Amino acid sequence: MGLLSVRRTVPVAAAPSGQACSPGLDFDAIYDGHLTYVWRAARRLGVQQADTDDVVQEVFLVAHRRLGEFEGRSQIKTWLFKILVHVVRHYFRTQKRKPGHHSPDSADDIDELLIASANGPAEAFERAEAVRILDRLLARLDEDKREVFVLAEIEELSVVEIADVLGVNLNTVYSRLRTARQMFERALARFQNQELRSEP
Amino acid sequence: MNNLDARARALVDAARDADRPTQVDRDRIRRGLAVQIAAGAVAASTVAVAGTLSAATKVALVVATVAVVGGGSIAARRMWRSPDSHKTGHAAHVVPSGEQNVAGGMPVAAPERLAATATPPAAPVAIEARAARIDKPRKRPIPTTTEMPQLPAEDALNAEVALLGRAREELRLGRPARALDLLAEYDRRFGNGVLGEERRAIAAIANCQAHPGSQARAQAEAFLRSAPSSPLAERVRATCIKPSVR
Repeated sequence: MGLLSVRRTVPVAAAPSGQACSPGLDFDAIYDGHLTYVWRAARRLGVQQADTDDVVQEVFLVAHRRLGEFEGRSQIKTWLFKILVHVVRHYFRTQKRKPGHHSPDSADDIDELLIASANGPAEAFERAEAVRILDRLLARLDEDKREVFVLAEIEELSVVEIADVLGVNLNTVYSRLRTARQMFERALARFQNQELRSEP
Repeated sequence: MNNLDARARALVDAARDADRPTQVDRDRIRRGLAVQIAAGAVAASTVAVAGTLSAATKVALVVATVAVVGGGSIAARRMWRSPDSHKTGHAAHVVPSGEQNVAGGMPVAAPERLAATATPPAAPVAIEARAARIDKPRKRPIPTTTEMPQLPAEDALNAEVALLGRAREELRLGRPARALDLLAEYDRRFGNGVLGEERRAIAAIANCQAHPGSQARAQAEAFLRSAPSSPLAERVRATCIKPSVR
């Protein structure tokens, strides 16, 4: 559709950073090919539903501004995740300053899923339930471990890529991932035990 | 290093496949992003190229910018009707070949025939000088709408985009009262501006955050009825409607 190619109609001098996109990179294709990853990772990192549009837009806005700087030493997906992590961290910092902010594991988002899924068929309900449980369990992890867990287990990045995205060394990634997996498994086991006990 | 156990793996896989943006989500985010990219380009062009582009080119740029917004064709049509668009004395209503329909592939409404005017065309130099001055701080109070000198259409739209952008930023920072102040400034300066729909959406969100209650909700519902396909409709709904449904 080319909605994002307004740049092509604008002289280079009008681009915010004064830089044009690299000739071989099509921003529309990048958006189309990576929106799902960025959107899903933002949600799993704890961005609230009402703020997801803003966060995702900010990621692609930064990418649009800096595409000329992209040197191709990593994959576009990895590069976008690096931007995403920075945007999400900034989002949490500003959220904490807001009066009356609530945690990412809010009842609002969970209710949202239940309302949406209760009207659908059984499969949709089960899927929504899986997302709901996953978000509850992820909320038990602190920010560092949650980032590693989401990038490794949900977005399936390699340890080397995660180290690049987060700007930490490989051992740190291994350590955080090991701990995050253990915490996640324990939290899931506790959750399932509670569910069993609550059944009639 | 151990992998996830089978139960945890099954849960992660199920959730990964379940949660992805719908086509509606994709389109909405795309429109919002297009607005921000266009706003950034316009803001930069005001500063960087005000002294180099002709007024006609700037009008074409702004029209292309507006046209990428969902519903932007309405704004574009209003711009075509703006008496200022022909006061420039340039062929402002003739979008340069190849640019009119490039923005988003969205059809831009054909320019309406403009009525003859007795107003003499303004000198291009004066227009560009005003465009270059637009970001300088004002040293005198902002005049009311009635005493506000008419800006050329492209400059006015640049200023509208910038002011609404500041209001949205205040919302993002959790300062709805400040956002409402900026919207009051918008009303004083632009009255029924080209971006009136966006202004009403931001006002609805700001009111719901600053003064939640039936009045704010009614304002939001009125906005959603009048502009159901607005790029900001989902934000209005999420802020104003859903909380009280639960």
